[in-house]
Amino acid sequence: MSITGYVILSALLFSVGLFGLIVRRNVISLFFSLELLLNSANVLFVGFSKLYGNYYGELFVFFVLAVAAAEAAVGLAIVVALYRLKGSVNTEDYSSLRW
Amino acid sequence: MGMTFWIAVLPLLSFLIAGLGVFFGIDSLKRRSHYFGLLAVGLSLFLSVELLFEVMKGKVISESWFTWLVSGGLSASFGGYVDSLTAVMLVVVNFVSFFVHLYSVGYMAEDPSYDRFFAYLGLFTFSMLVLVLSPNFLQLFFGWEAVGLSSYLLIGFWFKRKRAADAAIKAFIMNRVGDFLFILGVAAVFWLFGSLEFGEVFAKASKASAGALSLIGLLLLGGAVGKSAQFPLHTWLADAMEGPTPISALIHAATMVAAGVFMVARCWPIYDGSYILPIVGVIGVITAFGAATIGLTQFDIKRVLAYSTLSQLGYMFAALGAGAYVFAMFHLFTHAFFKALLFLGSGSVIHAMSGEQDIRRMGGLFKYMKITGTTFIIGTLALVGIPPLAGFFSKDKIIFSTYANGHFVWWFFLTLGALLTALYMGRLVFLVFFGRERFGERERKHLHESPAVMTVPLIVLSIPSIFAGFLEGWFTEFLKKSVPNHLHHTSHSLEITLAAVTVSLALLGLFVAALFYYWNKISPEVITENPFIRPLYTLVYNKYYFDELYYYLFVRGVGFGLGKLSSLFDRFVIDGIVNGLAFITRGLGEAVRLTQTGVVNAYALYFALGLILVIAIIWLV
Repeated sequence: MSITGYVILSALLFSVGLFGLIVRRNVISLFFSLELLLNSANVLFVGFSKLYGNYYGELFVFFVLAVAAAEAAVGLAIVVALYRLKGSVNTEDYSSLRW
Repeated sequence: MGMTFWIAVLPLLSFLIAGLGVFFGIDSLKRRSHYFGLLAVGLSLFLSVELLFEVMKGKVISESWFTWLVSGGLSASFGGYVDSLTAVMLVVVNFVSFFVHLYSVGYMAEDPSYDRFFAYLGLFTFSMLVLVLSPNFLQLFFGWEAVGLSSYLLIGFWFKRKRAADAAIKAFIMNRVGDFLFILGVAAVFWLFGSLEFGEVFAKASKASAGALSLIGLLLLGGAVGKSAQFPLHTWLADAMEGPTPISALIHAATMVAAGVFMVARCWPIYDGSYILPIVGVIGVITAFGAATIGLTQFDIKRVLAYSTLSQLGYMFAALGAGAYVFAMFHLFTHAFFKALLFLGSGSVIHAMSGEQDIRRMGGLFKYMKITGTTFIIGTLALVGIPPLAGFFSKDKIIFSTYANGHFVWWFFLTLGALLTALYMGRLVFLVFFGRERFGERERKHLHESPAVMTVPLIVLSIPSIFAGFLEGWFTEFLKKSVPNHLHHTSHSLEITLAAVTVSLALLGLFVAALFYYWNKISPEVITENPFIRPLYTLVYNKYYFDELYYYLFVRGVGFGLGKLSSLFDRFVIDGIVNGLAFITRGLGEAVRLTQTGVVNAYALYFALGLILVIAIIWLV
């Protein structure tokens, strides 16, 4: 079987995620983009798992999903806190560490 | 470790013992510090005389004490080399030093630093003895520097007085200029001859080129000019009068200033083979004449004597320049006695006048101080060169040798110098010991003849001042064993004529001085206030403005210029580096901080760019 499709899909997903991460200003959108980055990795895991005929890769995907869930929980909590502090979810309003 | 070792080391022991007393503040040593000095120098004198008799039998004593340093081809040892030149110097140094020690017991009796004084005296004597005994250039240089150091300590003995401290620094720095040239000369000797031992160097000197010898001779002469206070490094000697008077006697008579003359005589093979003897002579003549004119105008009793020393040293250098090394040494020999006598006498006067040194506030002292007065007059007559006193024989020989060797201009100025000598010494004696009493009631109450411990050295020193001249024949023959005496043959009648000219000029000088200051027929103001002479008088009175010249040239000029230069360097180069670094850092920071937008997307962008960069590098490499 060919792995090419998986890699291309993963690369596309990663690029979209990275693009979103750089361009979007909404914190929630940044989260979405982050999830895309994680999942592009998941696609690769699954693809290679299938290529080598074992389940190690798929096993690892569950770890990633678990971490992503935890990250989403902590991250969203931070967003809520930030929103309470600044009254906005726009990253341009979070520039206190600016020069 | 023979006799020569003990001659040099005994005064050092006296220094160490007295020095320990000073260092640990041992009171019981303090009042007794002169015992060690007198004992050590006395023993050293005794050994020197014994050595003189050994050498008179025709021996040349050469002893090695210990090896100082060995480095490559250079090896230097400390030792004692005694030929007739050294033997005479040893006796003179120890003789004068002994009586200066004795005299100081009285003169310094009330000084709180009595023990420190005797410690320094021991060090000074030791330094000079080491210098005189040296068998090689390195030990000569050691002695040379040690003499400079101890003179610095002694001139600045009363260092709480600013003038004394300044004079000490001045003497030290002026000497340093000469010493720098001197060490260059020593290096040149080693470079040319590959050895520093006198014997080897002088043996090879006859084969060396005159040009190379001239270079060495000039460099060594630089040291001699500094140490013997010749023009143009002469200004320190008059200021050295700030030291205690016994020290002036020691510096002027036997130690320190004699070193230059001794060195040139010792290095005669170098000077004989070079072109520079005329330079030596011209320096001597300039100093002899110039200092004599200054001596005429000074009012400080010790300063007049100081300029007289300068002048007499000039005579010695003139004799060296004429090639009459033995006559230079003979004048050094006689001069040591009567100049020590004169200085100790002036000390006695100053002591009696409770510290007053201005001869305008003295006068008529003879009837108060018969012994000091008589011995001082003996010293004066000896210095002026009235036969048959010592100075007549030695000075006349110098003047004669310049004429005989064809230096008529030198002869003219030296003869004129003899007249000036008579003038200023006559002026000094008449102003101090005769005429109206110009001092106040306070001094009159205190006025007294000095104690025996001070007058005995005066009496003893006046004996060789009178009779040393008769040793001329013996001395010349004796010294010719180690030093040549170039003298063109001349008729006997010429010699007598020249002597007659000198003596009649000296007598004329004394007579004129008496007209001015004893009989008061002419007032000196008539001359000094004369509109034509006035500028000249001011010039001479201010010592030809040498101090001012050096002050503006070196202290203000070079010193100020260098200061300005280093200040500019500091401000622009050093500060430039420091400030430049700060400026660059700041500029970079200003530029780079623009990347810190605070917006999280920007950081994500950098992250992505970095990632791309890493990938590109991995891919390309």
